[in-house]
Amino acid sequence: MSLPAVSSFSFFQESDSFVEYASFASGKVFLADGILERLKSEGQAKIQPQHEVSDNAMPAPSYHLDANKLAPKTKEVWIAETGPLAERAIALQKWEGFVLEVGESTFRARLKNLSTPGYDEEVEFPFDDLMSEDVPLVERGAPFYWSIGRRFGKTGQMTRYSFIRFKRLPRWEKQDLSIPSEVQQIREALDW
Amino acid sequence: MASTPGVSEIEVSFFGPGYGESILVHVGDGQWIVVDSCVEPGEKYPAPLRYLDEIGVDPREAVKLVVVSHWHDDHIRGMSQVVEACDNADVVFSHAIKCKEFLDLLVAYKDKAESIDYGAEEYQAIVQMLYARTGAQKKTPVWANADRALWGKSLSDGDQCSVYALSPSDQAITDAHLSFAKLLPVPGAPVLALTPDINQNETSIVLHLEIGDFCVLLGSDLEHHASIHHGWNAIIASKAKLYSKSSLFKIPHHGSSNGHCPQVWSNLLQANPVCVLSPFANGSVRLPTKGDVARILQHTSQAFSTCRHISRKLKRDRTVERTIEQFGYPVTLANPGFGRVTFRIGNSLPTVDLAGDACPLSEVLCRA
Repeated sequence: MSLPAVSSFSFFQESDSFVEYASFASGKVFLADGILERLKSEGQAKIQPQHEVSDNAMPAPSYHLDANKLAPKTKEVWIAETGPLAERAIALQKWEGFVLEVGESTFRARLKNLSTPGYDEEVEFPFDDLMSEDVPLVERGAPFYWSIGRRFGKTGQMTRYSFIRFKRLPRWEKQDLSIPSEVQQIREALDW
Repeated sequence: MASTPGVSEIEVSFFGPGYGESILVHVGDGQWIVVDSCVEPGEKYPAPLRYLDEIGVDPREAVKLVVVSHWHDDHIRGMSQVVEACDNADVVFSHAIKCKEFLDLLVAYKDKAESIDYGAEEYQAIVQMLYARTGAQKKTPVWANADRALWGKSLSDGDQCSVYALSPSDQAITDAHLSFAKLLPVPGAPVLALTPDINQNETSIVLHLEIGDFCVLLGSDLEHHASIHHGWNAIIASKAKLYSKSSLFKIPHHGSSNGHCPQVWSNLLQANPVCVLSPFANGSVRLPTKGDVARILQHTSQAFSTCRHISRKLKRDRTVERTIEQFGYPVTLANPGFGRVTFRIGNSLPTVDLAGDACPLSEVLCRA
């Protein structure tokens, strides 16, 4: 049996964003090896084999898909049937930061790059870019997260986003501050 | 390409990534001292260990002394790895932290997910490591205070090597102990990412090394104050020992004017000494300034920096770059470069080798 004509096909590379691609495509998407298994394991889509290998196709079980080779050839194809589109976001870069200096309308912060470890960065943010509920939390040493990424709306429209969120901090409790026996043991062992 | 120093060659290597510093000293006979630690940007391995690895030196056998001058983030990054790798070495701490209140602080902040304070993390790891050691590696820390001999060794060429601490002063130690008690967290207060800030520079360890006739003064971050009980004035005022003048000087506190004490140049240093500093960038503070460079160059024509003030961008996803530009956020690398200044002296004339982003101090790009 021959593969049905592919009227539209978007080739995409395997990346962290493939799941989102699958979801905002028009209900069905062709999947390359590896992506299939990951979608299955994440339960992201209902996946069923839709076509058998044709009599003149490449030997099974190879079903690699390639944008340049797919259309004229026939081979086993997997189709993921996805649910309705939903708003979603993909973080492309994440930082963990803490406030170094607080100015009148801005604050400077040290950033620990969580996407490319080993590189510390600094940034200056205006208070205007914070959620109003976060502004009172800004003080020296206050930790926060910052992420940049892509957001997809229900129509599949992509926009870029920057999101700064200060951590809600726990409070010191009495048991944190009681003199633990650990301190005494260290003092005795190390003549501290 | 770095090479192993000769048996009787003295080497002092200074490492700096623009925010951080570390010093390695070969005193002779294949014996080394590590002072502070920093990590090259993008790396996890501390710079002094990486260098020893490059020149084929086993830190476990060769390093005899590890000095933790103070617990500022820019002096301690990777120090727990250094202590772990150099497990036959004595570990030197400032006497200022030899108190129960400091340990209370460390233990209180231990395992707090909110804490991203490298200084606290490194100290916690080091203390735990020293505590857990057994057998020959089980040693108590060596406590440094003014005019204390920390380590000594007779070398095969007949020279004597002695390492002295010139600070912290008695007054700085007392002040620090009182401060720690006040810094303990209060129930109900938020757990912040940073441990409380105190003036740690006052408690940092200045080292004086005598190796035969050659002397080195490593100024750490010690500052200069009017009081003769604090900072450099306390060292100048000390009558405990007459130290020979040094011909190699690690300029204190990244060249800042608050680390400049005129009497250091006249009383503790030879004329026109070789000087090295590591720059510093944190928030709006950039050291040294143009004024700092000009002041230092009045005292010596042989000054070097481990790193330039340079601007480099981290390569990242184009969408991320566009978004940063779109929002107008000035994101800069805290450690845009990395360099090494290596001073050697043996049987021939002394040499200075600059590697990476290291440069003569006159070429450091500075803010006014």
